[in-house]
Amino acid sequence: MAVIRIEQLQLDSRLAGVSLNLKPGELFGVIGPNGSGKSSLLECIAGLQRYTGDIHLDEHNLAHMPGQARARRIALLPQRCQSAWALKVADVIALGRLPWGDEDADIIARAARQTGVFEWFDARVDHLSGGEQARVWLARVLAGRPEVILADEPLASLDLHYQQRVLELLRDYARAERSVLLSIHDLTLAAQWCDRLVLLDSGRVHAIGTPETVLTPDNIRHVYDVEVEVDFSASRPSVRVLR
Amino acid sequence: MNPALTLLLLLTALVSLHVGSTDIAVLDGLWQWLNGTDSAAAIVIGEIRLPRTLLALTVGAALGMSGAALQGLLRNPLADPGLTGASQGAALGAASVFYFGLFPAAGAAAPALAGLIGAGIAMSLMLLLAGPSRQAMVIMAGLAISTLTGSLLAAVLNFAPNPFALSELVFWLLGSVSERGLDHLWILGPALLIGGGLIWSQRRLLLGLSLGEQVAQSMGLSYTRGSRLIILGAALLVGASVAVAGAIGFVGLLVPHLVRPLVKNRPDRILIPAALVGAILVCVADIVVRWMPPGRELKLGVLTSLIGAPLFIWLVWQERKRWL
Repeated sequence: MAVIRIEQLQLDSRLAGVSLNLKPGELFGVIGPNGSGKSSLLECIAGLQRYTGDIHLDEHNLAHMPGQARARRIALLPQRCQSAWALKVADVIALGRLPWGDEDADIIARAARQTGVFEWFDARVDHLSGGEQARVWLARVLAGRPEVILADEPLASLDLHYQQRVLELLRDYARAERSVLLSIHDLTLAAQWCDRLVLLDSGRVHAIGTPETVLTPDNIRHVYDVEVEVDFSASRPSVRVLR
Repeated sequence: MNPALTLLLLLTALVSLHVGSTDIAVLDGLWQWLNGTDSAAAIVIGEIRLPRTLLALTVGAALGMSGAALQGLLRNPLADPGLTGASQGAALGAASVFYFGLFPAAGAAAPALAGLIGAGIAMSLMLLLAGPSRQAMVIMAGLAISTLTGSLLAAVLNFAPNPFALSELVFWLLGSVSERGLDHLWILGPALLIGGGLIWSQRRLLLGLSLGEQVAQSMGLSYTRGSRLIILGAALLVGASVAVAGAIGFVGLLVPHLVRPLVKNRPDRILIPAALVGAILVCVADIVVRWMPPGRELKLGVLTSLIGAPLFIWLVWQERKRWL
């Protein structure tokens, strides 16, 4: 049984007939070149776009679901995030409780510990570095305890250390009933961390399935127009660009 | 913190009731006025000082709250309530009364009534122009409508029927809470309640917007509907206060900056303290106006601008340092 079932999703010229299922416990990677529709796909599920086609959350049609009920179960971690005000880290994380209408101190503190930002709990978020802020934005999403996290390129602008930490967190989160839909540019990381991948090309699904079946040299040549060498035999798979 | 500010507000109001050209027993006068006794003290308190104090408080509260709401909505600490076009619209409406003699039945409250209508029209035009708006469009549309109403206001001044009407108009525009009666409160009071209520109902949206429209919407908050309610509420507050008291500059812009450190910069918790601090500041400014040596009165709006403008320059300077 899928948590999210997308059928024939259409968004003006950005998405064309996208269908996919997100299963419980899955870390599902969305890959594709710039402008292929990765962000648009996540925005449709997060309720930011008016689309045609169907998106179901369990048996509910998302289009008919009240915003608050949707927000309690699906949370979006946008590509770029910035706080307009010099809020305390604790208050930023508390924002994740908005759909629930509470500011549960335990849940907020736990989200801060999970992401390793508890030591700055009372600090101002604008005093943190980019990598530290990225974890605060993630903590905000975790505090809402959604069943589905939509993470839009959370690794962009992060150094190697924070990339690994964020991926570990998302990997940990995607267990049991919870799942994560992650848009990601780095194909090697996608191959190493994701259970399944969808490769988008100009708003269409070019390939969908396990990393082995999606990340073939043929698929990548067709979509990205580059030659790659793909190695799934090693303990950590890799995708290397040849030219 | 709100109880402390409320106490400070009550103290300010009490001081305001004491300040005037004659020395009278304030509490006795207030009591006699409430009982309907026809003493000199009752008349001075009930007819002059109480309306003036209450108007200063409500105008300040309206300006402070609308400033906090608009800065939160536009995610811009330099946003001014005048941005919605409501202030200029209200000024134009009120000026038309002096010129065309509209609403003769409303008596002394006519400029206020026309001002409220002017603010409403300017706001509607602005919303129409901004469309299903991004915040940048609200600023552009507000600026466009402000310019339009500003030029119409200049035309009204240009064609003033006589020098007396012109000076009356200009003095009214400078902003003051003197020589107004309790009937003006019947315009400001409901505007404060309704406008404040609209804004208060959207405080969760203001908090969600801290991280941007996308995040707010993904958290199930309706940006389009909520932002309109906030703009409508702010326009009601600004329109009504300009309509009653003329232009009291910089209060809406500066008060949120004073309050923000008290609420750890949270845009949802700032609303009530901003209203209270706005009320206190305008009332204090009006007390200062009355303490000035007799002669030609310094208008309240001129005083707030004289104090506010340097503070505004300082704020811009601080903002600039943030980006360097």
